[in-house]
Amino acid sequence: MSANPDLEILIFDSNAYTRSLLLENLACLTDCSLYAHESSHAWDDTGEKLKTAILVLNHHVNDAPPFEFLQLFKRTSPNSYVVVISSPGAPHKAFAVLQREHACIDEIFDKPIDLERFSFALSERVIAIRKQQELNHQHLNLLRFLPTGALRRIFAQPTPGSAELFEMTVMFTDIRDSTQLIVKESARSYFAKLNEILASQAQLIRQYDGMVVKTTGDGLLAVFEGAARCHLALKCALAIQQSSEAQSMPVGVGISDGLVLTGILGTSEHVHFDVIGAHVHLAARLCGKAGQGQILATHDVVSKARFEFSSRPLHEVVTVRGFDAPVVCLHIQS
Amino acid sequence: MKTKFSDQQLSLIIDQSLIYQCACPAQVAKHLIGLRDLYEYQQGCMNQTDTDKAVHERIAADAQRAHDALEGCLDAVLRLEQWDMDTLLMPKSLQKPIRSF
Repeated sequence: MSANPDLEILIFDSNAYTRSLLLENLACLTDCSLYAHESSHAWDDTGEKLKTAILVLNHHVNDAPPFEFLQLFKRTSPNSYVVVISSPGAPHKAFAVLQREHACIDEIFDKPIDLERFSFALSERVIAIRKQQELNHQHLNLLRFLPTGALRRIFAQPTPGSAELFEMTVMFTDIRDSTQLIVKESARSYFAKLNEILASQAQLIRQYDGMVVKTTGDGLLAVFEGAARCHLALKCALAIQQSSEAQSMPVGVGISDGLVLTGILGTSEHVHFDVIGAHVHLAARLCGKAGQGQILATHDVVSKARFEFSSRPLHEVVTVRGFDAPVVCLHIQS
Repeated sequence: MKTKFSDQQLSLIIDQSLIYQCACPAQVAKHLIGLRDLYEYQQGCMNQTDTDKAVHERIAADAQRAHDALEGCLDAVLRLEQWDMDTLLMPKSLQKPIRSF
């Protein structure tokens, strides 16, 4: 497990002697930074609120109970673990009420405490926090492979074969004349350049609230959801064309809109998300027809976009399996 | 319940006992708080039958006797260890030396 130097143990104890004892005994906790404060007033919440910490408050009966401080601390640092050491009887009862009603204390230790056992309990907590941090990190990494928006609900029960129908705008991108580029450059160099271009396309797709479904060799398949999906897809396509022009890697883009079946394909060992349907085929066909730096979209996409996009009709008739009549398509111009 | 040490004083003794090795007075004080809780608890119990009343009276009387005995014990222990009986502060000699940190 990797060490996380951001994990802090904050000790609050008004008594210098017991504060030193706590510091001395908790120094055995590895990979943690220890900070001891005389009072909660010394705590600077601006600098420490983003870090995960274990707060140890050794409360003395003559101190004013720092109830407000504990609530503020838990509010600003909700992932932190708050431990209060208190005398049994009235002080314990007061902290127990705070724990029950405001959930700002995770554990109360009654004095007298065995410091060795206390240190052991905290070291177990540090291990648990580290495991949780690692799981959170893995979770965030995995989320990058999952669809966003309404599509994510499919992953609540990722059963291969399960699918749902969605109204979506489908966009395909493809680098033009990539075969020539592969011949000109080494495969390794081309692969690195391809990754750079697809990454920049994916970033633009995310910027316009779209979602990359998968890479398709030299391009991407992306979908857009919601009322503004056609507008966003067209704006995104224009941005991709601008960016590819700057990178001297011309692309063709095809866009269609309609009902699409989204779901999970695979086996119990390996699954992947995919979209299928006539509009996916149509967008792929349009992408295939689009020349260098061109965007081809159905008339339906342009009319649904509601905002004016400069366009001219595609004279060629596009027929696609699944569509009874030829589809009217437009060249989108920047 | 008749008491010699207040709750506040017992908590003060317990507060000074972070080190287990010199926490004997604190252990006694902790049990005194426990006996006070027991006494308070049975005072709040309902007496629906004569037996209930007898049970609660018995608990109250024995909790008080145990409490008197332990309070006497605490007083004696504090004097033996030479605590300041006015401030109830632990003598320095009982404190565990802190390593340089």
